[in-house]
Amino acid sequence: MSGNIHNGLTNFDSHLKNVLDNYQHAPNAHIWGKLKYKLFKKDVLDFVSFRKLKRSFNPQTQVASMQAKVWISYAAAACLTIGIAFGAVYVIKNELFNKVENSVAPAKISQTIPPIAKQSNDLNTQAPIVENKTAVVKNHDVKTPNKIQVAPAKQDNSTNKANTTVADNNSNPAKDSKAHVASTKHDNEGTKPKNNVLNLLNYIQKLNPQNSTLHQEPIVDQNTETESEFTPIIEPNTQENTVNPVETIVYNLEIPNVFTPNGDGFNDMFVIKNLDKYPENSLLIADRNGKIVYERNSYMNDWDAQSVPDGTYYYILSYKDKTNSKGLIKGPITIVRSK
Amino acid sequence: MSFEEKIIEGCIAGNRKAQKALFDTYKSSMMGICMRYCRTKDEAEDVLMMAFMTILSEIHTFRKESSISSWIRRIVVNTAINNYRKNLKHYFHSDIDDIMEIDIKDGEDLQISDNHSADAILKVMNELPHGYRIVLNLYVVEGYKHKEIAEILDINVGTSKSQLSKARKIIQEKLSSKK
Repeated sequence: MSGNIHNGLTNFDSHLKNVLDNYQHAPNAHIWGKLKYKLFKKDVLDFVSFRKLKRSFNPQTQVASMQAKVWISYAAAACLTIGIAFGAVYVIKNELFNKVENSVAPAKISQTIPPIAKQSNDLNTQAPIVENKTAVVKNHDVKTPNKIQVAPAKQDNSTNKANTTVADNNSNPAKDSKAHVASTKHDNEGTKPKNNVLNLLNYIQKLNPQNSTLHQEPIVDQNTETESEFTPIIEPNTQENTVNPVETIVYNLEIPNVFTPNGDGFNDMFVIKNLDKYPENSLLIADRNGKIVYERNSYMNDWDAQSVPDGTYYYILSYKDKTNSKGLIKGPITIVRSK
Repeated sequence: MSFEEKIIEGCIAGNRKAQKALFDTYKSSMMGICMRYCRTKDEAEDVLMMAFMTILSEIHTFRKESSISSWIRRIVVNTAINNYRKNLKHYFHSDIDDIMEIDIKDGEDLQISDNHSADAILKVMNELPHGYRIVLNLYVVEGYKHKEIAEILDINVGTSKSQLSKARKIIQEKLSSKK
């Protein structure tokens, strides 16, 4: 029947091909909308990820507009990078600055107090100035060793609406940054004439830190909140370093993996060597089904495995050493009675 | 520059109007192809959309050696086959062993009358098992050889052949019974 074969296809096939090849079916109208949305999303992604760049430098395409877009995006990226870099530099600078500030001995800072306090007092007597702008105390101000003195002054500032230090800052611009910070700090203290006595006391207190108990209580009461926020930095000379070095001798716990409770005098107990060096311990022994057969706090090496058949058991030993660090040992223990 | 070339240039540049023109030109015929390969209209529309996403994003790779319509058609068919392969495990897939044997005499020409509309044929085709329909489409309409079909669909050549003949037979029977 080779006559029916036409182009490798039967008549049936060719008819089917004719019918189906020309078959058209209008898709829904919303297909284009969906497609447009997808294309838009893809365009945005291309633009963001520079994927379209490779083909944009094809002379047939709109090179100029694409180039413009590319340069704009480059510029944006450069701005972003510069911004990030400056931010990072600023942060690092602040960090270093803080460290330097903290490392300065409190005595040095206190030396700068009297002239500045005088200055500010003079200024205050001359003219009460503008507004309470310096209520903002920077973090590194508060973290510094003389925090306790700074904070009450700040509160006085805010409650009494004292004068600012803008003029003070202008009055001694030539100082370096450290002295500048110190001055802003002590401007807060010296802003109010009423505080002169307190300043003096603070100053004396700084010179003689041992007497600081005189004024510490009210100050602490006033500033419990700010106190709690920051970890207090230990002032040298005021607090003795009371921490003694702990003797840390490590005793190895030697736990056997087998013992023979048959009454022959050898290995009749479950003995853990050096356990007496760790009096705070707890031992738990379970059988292979997880059933607890022995449990003891502060185990004294006296388990002889009575009423427990031979076999493998598992122990969990937890202990505390002298530095209160915890330890946990798990392992198997085999009981053998027959010889 | 012909109208078609203008549209293609616009599509390469990412012009939305040109893309819409291209889509509107080919959507009906390509939807017909998708309908042949897919079980439901929704699935066909999905395949159409995927195919056009590929076409519009990769149109800069079109080398103008063949006509744009055949290039688009090839992409649509490939997308449909990929979709079939991807969703193969979700379809009701009948194995060759489970199929009832139908005797077909060698060289027997099946008759199909001209008064069957394409819609009727398509409806019958949609009732075929999915594998049968794909093989029939690829062999009869797209003009692939059995060996190529076997490679594309990852089946045996014998399977391809038997599925084709059975598909023919089923279509014939169903069309004649409907008549």
